[in-house]
Amino acid sequence: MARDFFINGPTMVYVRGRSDTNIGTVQELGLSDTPIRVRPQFKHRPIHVDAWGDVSPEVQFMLASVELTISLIHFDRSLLDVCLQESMGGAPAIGQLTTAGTRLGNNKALYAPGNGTLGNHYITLGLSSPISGKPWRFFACYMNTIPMDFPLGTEKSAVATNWTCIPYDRDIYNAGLGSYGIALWDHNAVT
Amino acid sequence: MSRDFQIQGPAIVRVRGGEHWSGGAMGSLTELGMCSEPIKIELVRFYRRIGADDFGPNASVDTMWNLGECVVRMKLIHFDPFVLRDCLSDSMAGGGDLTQIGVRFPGVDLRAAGSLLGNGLPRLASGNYYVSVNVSSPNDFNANQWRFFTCYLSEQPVIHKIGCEANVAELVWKAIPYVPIYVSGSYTATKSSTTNSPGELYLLKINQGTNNGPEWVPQTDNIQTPTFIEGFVTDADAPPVAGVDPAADNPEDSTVVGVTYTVRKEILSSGTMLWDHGRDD
Repeated sequence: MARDFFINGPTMVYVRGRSDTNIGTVQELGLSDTPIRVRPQFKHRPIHVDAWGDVSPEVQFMLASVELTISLIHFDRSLLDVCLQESMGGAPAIGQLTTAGTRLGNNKALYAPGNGTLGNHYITLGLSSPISGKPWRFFACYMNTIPMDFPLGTEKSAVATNWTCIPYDRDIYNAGLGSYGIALWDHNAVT
Repeated sequence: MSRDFQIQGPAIVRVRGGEHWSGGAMGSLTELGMCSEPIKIELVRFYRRIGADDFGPNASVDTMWNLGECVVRMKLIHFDPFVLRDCLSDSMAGGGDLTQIGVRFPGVDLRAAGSLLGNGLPRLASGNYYVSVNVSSPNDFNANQWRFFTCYLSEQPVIHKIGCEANVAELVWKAIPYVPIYVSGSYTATKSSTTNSPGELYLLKINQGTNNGPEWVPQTDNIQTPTFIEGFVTDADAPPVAGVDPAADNPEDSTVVGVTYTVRKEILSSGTMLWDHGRDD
């Protein structure tokens, strides 16, 4: 690929989640008023050797996650509510909670239906790329810590949302391979 | 092998119990779980110093080696609670209400105080409650396996933390150099040792071999040799070799059905095993 300016173009945010919710098939969540920020978080662990002082002669890669910040300006409010509910482990209604300790994956495949411990509550997030043709698909996401910052007033609300994407897999031993080959993201459209 | 960082990779713990678990998960090698922290293997060795007045009260003239044990510490976070429960039951000398094959509730129906775990039986035999603990990891230079032959859950295993967080079972396994210990006495052969079909009676050498357990050898000239005890063939490779009649070679080398032999046994610790790098398949 030759060197060039990289222009993603108007980026639509798609979501797909638990098959028995309103995001059970690919849905348009909305558009962002500012560039969407994709920030992989790599975890490296240094190996300390006394002979090397305070600097490590070797480090180990200890997997990664991705943080996304999306400021929604033209969006489907009802779908955003579903994303919030699913990020809470499948809350029964918007604003309500699930039981403390509720898992999001529940050893189920992505999009598996069912409330509470029965279904998979991770959300696949897709970012379109109409100009450069390089979309993003983040497989297992949830709205994290401060999931949204919702300004209310006479002006249009630009809702800042924060997402985390993790390498979810049901078989964490994987015949000794562990996380090898588990996808955080790829560059295909959400289907 | 040159010096390098030693990184074993993702490790999984598998266990196997005695034949009393036949039909249940523990009857064959089964996954116990994966840990939240590195598994720690500690070798506890016992020594006794030999002193001499000439060397004063503190310095040793020599030191005696008095065997050792292995302590394996693990914190399971992704595990099978039913397999763990069965391990706990075995570690309590097989206690627990047996409601169906392979299922015990160890807190009910405790075994009597003083109950043995090995009961003088070969490893993995029915009624031998030691558990074989296998630890596998893909990058371990020791051929990827650690196998601790005869283990029990010691100290105070934390088996349950009841709450909203993921339960971590903190286990301390102790592996001892177990050998079957038989009471001296008379044993009546139930088979002639001219065939090697599984289930027939042969003489069993106490010392553990390099494979899965005790070493099967023919009876020697002196049937009162202290290293021999009776047992049952469980391995098709056990002697004598099919088609070879030891009685024709040396009459004392065979047992005769119905004849009572007196065997005197001593405990031999030489050759006993704490761990190897095999696997209980």
